[in-house]
Amino acid sequence: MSDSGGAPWWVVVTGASQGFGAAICTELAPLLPPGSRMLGLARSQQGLATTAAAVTKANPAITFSPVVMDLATAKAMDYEATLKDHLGTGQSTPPGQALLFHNAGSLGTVKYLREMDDATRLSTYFDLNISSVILLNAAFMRLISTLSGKVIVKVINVSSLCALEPFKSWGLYCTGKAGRDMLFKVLAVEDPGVRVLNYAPGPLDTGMQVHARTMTQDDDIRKTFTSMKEEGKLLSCQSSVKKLLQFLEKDEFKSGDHVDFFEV
Amino acid sequence: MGSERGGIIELDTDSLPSPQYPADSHAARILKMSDSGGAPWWVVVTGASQGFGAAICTELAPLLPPGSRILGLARSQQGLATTAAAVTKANSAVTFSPVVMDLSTATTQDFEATLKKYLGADQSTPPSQAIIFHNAGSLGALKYLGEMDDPTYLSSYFNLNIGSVILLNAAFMRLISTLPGKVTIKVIHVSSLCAVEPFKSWGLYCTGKAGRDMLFRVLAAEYPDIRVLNYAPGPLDTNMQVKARTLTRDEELRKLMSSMKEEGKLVPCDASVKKLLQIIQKDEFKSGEHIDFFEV
Repeated sequence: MSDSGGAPWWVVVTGASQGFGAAICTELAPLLPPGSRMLGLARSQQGLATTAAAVTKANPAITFSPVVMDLATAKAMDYEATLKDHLGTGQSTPPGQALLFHNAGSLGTVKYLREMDDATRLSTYFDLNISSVILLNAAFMRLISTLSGKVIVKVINVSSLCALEPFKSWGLYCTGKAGRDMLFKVLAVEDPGVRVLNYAPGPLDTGMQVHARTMTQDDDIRKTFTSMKEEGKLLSCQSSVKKLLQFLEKDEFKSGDHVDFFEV
Repeated sequence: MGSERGGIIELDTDSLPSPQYPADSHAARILKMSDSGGAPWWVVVTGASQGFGAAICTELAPLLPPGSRILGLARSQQGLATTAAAVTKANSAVTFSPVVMDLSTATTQDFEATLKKYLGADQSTPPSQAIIFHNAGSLGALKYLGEMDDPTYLSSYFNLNIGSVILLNAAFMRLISTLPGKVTIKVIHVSSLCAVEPFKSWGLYCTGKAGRDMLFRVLAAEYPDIRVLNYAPGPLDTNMQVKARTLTRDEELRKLMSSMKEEGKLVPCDASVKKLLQIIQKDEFKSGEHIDFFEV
């Protein structure tokens, strides 16, 4: 990745205001060629500002654009306009690499499936965790397709063990993650020129994890998460991002594969 | 508890011909008569107006104890009427309730009211088994993922193919939990090979099916007393298949679908339903498992 003479890169990170998304931004920044552009999408302006400061400190030679956006309600044209404004257009000098990290997501209501009764909530859940990913990815790929020259494109889905294994009272999250893994498998077969990775980061020490260990309805699962915290078994976002970036750099994975932090 | 698990389906399948018998056959009449004392079953089938859903209704009807109720949900009144007539012909001792409903916009209140009205209202004869077949679904726009640009469309797609399944299943389970006595619950998800393998220009359908398979695996983990099955029926000769072979954007895949039709490789709905009913009858599957027509 250390390619200081190379063409700048374009990077998009959703959920860039905290947790794993923020860590992607700050860990990746120093590895990017000068003039690279990083676009961070999230709902929290304050969180994005924190990330922006950290990125600039890590590499003042790149541009970080914080854009406040609610992915659950954004339209295709919102994505198109944002990408155009902060990355470029078909007229721009093409980047050497274009990376998109689909990181934003939510646990959703962590209750047993028999208790689900709110159609609007479910709709919003899948709007955010599945549909927004489809829309943003499509807008991103359409932009890339207008560029002249060869651009290496890498699309990373922040996945989870929950994409593979069922967890009691995590029906929404497991369903969304399993659906997303498949979504990216389809992307991989449709676009063989794009490098697609489903990366399960391991149990991270984040705000989402707090939610997991306090709100999970199932006692067994909740206790598992609580003890992981107490026993210091949660991973720092930095360590998981570092592994992801190493893996991406090696570039040996089969496009569409699901890879877990613990197996790399 | 022993013999009251639905009667007909509990008979030793080794000593009987496999249920390939016509509905009006001697075998069927014997089976029906031998369970005339059994408690009724409740059955819910979504997408009951045509295709696989209609076939579930008509194939299952003759196997049900008298007084059983089948609730068929779909958008097409005409289709439901056709199914209703076929079910009544197959077993006049079973009640079929056709209810027109758009699952993509139905609320929990809609589901609760419908279930209560057509199943739950008469509490004098509680069922011994309650089976729900989550069959309704749509292919969605068969375009490449790079062409997707309509959030309203996507929202509707997942409301139907994932959201409605969660809501209806929850309402169904809540209703059954209010009944006296032990009710065996079986939840059947009509899955697909697409839940397991990616298909070009079928991004929506694959995503929905993969998500649904996992949904039902979580259901199985949460409720060990329920029997949950993800059944992939094989490539069926239905209207959905017509769409598949005419509208699929990916040329290679579209041609594959066309040749399946031309070479007579599509599976008739009743053949696939028969296999499904045998699997359910044998009751040996692991709850939450994915089983494909071709591997049975």
